[in-house]
Amino acid sequence: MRIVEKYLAPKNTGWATEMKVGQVLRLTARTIIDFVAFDGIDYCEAFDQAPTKEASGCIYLKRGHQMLSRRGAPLMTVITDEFDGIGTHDMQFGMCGRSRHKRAQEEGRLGEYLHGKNMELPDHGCTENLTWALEPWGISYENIPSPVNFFQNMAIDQETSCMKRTQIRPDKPVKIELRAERDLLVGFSACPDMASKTRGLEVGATVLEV
Amino acid sequence: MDVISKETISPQKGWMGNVNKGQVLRITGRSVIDFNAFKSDDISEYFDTARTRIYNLNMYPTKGHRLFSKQNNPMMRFLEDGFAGLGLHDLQSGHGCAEGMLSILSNLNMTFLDLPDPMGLFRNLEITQDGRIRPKPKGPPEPVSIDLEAEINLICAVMNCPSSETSASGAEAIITVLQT
Repeated sequence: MRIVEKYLAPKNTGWATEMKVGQVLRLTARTIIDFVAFDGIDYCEAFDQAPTKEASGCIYLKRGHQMLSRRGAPLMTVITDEFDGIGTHDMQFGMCGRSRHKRAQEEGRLGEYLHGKNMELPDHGCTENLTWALEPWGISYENIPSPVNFFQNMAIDQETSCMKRTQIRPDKPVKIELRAERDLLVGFSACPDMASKTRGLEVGATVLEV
Repeated sequence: MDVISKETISPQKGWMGNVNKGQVLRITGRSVIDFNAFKSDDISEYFDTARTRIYNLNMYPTKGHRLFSKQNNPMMRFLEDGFAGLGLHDLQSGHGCAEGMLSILSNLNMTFLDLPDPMGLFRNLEITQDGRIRPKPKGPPEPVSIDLEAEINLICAVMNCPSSETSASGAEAIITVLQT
């Protein structure tokens, strides 16, 4: 496979790029990645968690599953998942970010949310990273869909249906590969991942021509 | 509580109306009803399923939870849930009848691609430990009510889904707006 483009996103930053149908995006990380995709021409035709879950019959995104758009069109297919067997990729959460952190602070729960004592209000998170990354394509926050949260492992209590964030992440960077099923705009944020022991790490992204 | 408005909605029909701060929207039914809400003076702020799940840290909405907007602001309080113990409301699925919901929302000039994912009242599904979604089409035997109190001025919309093989639908619904 030929490398079309390669980028290393530092911790708590975002990146976006265009992809051609058939190209493969390889994400290499051991931290949470908030990931979104849009049709390459009509950015309103964005990834949507609900039809994606309905099509696969599963709340997690796994190898062989497709990320679908609002209208149910396949955007990407998961072809490699090295996190399989270690943890799951989440489609329940949205994005962290300034307004989320501010609300936590108002509720007196910032420490709980950021998993630390005497935490300061962060100036940005995934919401801002993705908004800034997608700005050149004219996409505003309201039009950024709730993402797939790669490596955001979650435990569900079957009795209470409560969701609990876990610290399960890959020990070493592992790969996820997604094949573009049409021309796309894709974007991601290397999450500050305050729930994890590392509190965020860089994310490697490579676009490959098969 | 004083009744401001009360309407019976047949299957495949819907309702849209203002529910102002402090007012209660009571939805009474026994089959799948999709629900959306928008901030009255700025409909680009809308009820969001992912935000609602994370604030409540729960897969299913029920009494005691709050509904949140995409912009992280509280929209409604879930005051009463007559379906509790009988089944679960859904925050995973898309619209059961998107065309119907869009026609209800036609005054708002909304297209399919603007339509946020709904809360699926009375949809009842099971999510297994390994993440599989299992529809369990079984509504309550008799109509039950849920009460949602508006925390800001809202435009709310409900779509009473048409009957389908995969969901318990096709019964009448009653939509009541109450002043507390």
